[in-house]
Amino acid sequence: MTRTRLSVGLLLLVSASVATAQTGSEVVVGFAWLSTEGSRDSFASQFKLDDGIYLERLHLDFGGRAGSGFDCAEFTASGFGAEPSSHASLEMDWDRTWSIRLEYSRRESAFHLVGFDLGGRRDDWTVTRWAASLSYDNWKPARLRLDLRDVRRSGTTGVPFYGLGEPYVAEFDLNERVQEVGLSLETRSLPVKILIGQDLARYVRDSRGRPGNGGQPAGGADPDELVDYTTPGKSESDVPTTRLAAVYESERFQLAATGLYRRDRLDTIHDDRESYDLSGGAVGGVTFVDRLVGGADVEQRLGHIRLGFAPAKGLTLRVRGRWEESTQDGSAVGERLLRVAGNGGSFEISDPIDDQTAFERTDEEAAAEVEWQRGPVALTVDYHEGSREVAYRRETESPPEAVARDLSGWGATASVAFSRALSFDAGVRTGNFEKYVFRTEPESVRRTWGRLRARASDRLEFTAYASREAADNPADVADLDRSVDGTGISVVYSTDGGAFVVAGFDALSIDSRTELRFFAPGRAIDTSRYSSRLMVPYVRFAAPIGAGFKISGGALRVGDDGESSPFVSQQADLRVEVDGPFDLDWAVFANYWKYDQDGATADDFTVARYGVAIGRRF
Amino acid sequence: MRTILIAAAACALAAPTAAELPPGWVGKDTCATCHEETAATFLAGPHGRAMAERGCRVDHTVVDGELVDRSCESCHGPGEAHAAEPSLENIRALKSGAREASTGCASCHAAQDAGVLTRTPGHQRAGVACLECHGSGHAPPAGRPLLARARAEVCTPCHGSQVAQSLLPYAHRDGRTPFECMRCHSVHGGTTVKGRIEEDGRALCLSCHSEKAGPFVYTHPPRDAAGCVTCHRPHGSPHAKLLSRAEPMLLCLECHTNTPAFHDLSKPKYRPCQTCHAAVHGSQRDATLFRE
Repeated sequence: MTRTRLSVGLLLLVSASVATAQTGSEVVVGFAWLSTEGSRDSFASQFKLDDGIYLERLHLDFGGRAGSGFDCAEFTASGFGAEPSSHASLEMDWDRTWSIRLEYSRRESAFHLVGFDLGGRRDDWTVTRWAASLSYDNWKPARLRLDLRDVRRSGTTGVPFYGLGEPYVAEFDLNERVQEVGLSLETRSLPVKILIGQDLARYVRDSRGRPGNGGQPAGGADPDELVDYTTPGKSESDVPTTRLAAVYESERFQLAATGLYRRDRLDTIHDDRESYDLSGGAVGGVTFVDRLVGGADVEQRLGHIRLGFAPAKGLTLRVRGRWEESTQDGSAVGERLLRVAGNGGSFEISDPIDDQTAFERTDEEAAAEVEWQRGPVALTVDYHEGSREVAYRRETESPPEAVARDLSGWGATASVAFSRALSFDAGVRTGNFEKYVFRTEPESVRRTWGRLRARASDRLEFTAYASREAADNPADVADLDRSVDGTGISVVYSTDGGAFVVAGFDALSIDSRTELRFFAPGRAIDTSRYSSRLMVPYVRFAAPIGAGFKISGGALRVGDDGESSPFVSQQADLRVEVDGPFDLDWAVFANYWKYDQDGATADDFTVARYGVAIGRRF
Repeated sequence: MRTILIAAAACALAAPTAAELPPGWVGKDTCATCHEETAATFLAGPHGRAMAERGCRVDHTVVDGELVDRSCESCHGPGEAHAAEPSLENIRALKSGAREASTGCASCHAAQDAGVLTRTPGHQRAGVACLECHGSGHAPPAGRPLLARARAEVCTPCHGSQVAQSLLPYAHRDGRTPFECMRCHSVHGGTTVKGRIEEDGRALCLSCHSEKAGPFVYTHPPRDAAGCVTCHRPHGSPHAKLLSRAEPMLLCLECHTNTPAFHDLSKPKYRPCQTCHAAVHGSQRDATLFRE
């Protein structure tokens, strides 16, 4: 039904646009068919494409011409129907004074994989976003701007959980909403440019739970049935944010300072319960109740300052400082109940909840940089120092924990741009850290990279890059050893007529090793190893062939030969466009995806999507 | 359509010069004396039309007709010497050094060049010039605003590694198309990120993933201290939910050295940690993050 409404709406929209549009506008509508072998759920988890009608592109340009009344008036839209993402925007400027931007987007998300270790979680939800901004640009001292935002998430999630020793499923009907209003002012006549912004956001979450899988355990064959799972609670938070920026610029001196203050206030109330009938109710039932009232106050303060000075031509000195502090105090008061009812009577056990939680983080960093540039050559060298302090208390009975972590490091870059025909840049960056907030943090990090860009002619361009990042920490912390290596080349050949071929190859290797320590039995693992070897060859092309005929397409293969999760993913597409009579452009297209996991087949798929599109420019 | 645009360009070329030109400048009419076709093509294109038809909003200042007259020399520099003695030596050709070509762009697009002394984005360090990503306007652009390549491919030549990750099975994408890099990255640097003063990368993620924004009574410290990238790979991952491990359990165990003794990890029941600890981003009611 929803799909039908969307299709009808789409057709009405297109009809209206054809009737009202001005020169420079365009509309393209497509219809796609989907052919799936293997797991449709897995394909949806990756792409969420469907079959049916969809809007490929709509662009209406009403403004910018004599008599239109607008400096600019454009409407663009895409998606809807068979596409998981829909977008529409309206931009209008008039009298060189007012600007309005309206944006709508809708995104569908699905997640249901058999072979992924999240215990059978299932998502099927939609996020709808509205945003609007109004700017006033005709007041000499400052520019004013009003922003409005509305975000809603709806749909369902299936969350597995253990109840009575068996995995059950709770389904949640999502109802989450964010509303935000912001007002900002940006001065332009003062020697110092000042930007002041005040936002107020409100978050509301009152998703409702219910038994999933008919109340039966996910594994089946268990007589205890989940008969009630209700979450009538609600969480609300108000988030005012104040932003301030000041910028001073002269020919040789620039200073930029920014500040932010945010204060979140959360109020949450829960009266959640889950009930089981034991042996189908024959021997009684068990009910768990969480009844509590909670809240949290979060304060966030941020200050950045950046200063630049050019004492001589080609020489620039930069200093920057950053300070961020976030504190949170939370509380929860209530009780946790266990009610057991049987043939012989019933009893109730209550466990009071009276928790105070805390979290604090303070980051500080200062850096200095020198840039020297002469002709085609530029060099930069920088040094930075900083610290991070984290203090944390999980619940009232937990001991407070506090860690301070220091860092220092330097970086250097060199770039040479002889001409547009040849340029090269390379750099190195290091960081050294003392103490650990988390054991998986590195003691040292080193990153190096280089890139080469060359043009053999106006038509032929070549680029190549290589990078390496390595991080480690001592054996007495976690014996961490991580590396990421990336290399790639690409060649582009293009013509003035719009034809091009891009071919390239990217390789990415990720290796990680972390020693595990735990007291649990069954130590089948004592080291976390991750190995990924990605190889991505690709080609894309477009070729106008004669008047009114164009062919375009591409293919790529993503292969992972690493030990952790080897797979091969292939994609290809081909599109043929022809100019037809009555100013109509016709296109046929085909897309192909293949996903093949090594050693598992449950989430593999082969999908072909093909269809037609019809467009008109006017 | 093309005829109309060329006619409009011809009219623009024929129009009298309204504003006074700076010393050493000659105006587009003089340039068009020799470069007639080049000037007409430019003015018929989006860069020329932006100057001619709508005026041009540059750094919040509306510039009208005089910009059209200055269009050639705004990029190529004063042309008096070149007009007197045509030579590549006395004009700024855009095929010359990339940084030099950028100075022409910055003469109008000051907002994109502002704060170059104070900010230090990678593009500035690497010497990436305007014309590496943008077209000059003499040829049809591949995307807006005046891009030399399609929006999705602007960053590809230099950032192939990140682009390759966006092609992995799980990535931020609209249907089959990966997100444009500019959705998250502010390519010109500046005082603000996408017009806002953002506190850290986590705030950027939460601007879309608002359901994870919190605050939570019971926090999960890695999320609040180190951010989303502690567990997720934002450019793309071979693993669902953009996780950085094939087995989510290993992500947990790398930090949690205090796993209770009854967690017998040899049994499948205990291996998906999230089956019990479902509220990995934080909980409103449970210190052990059992329920959200």
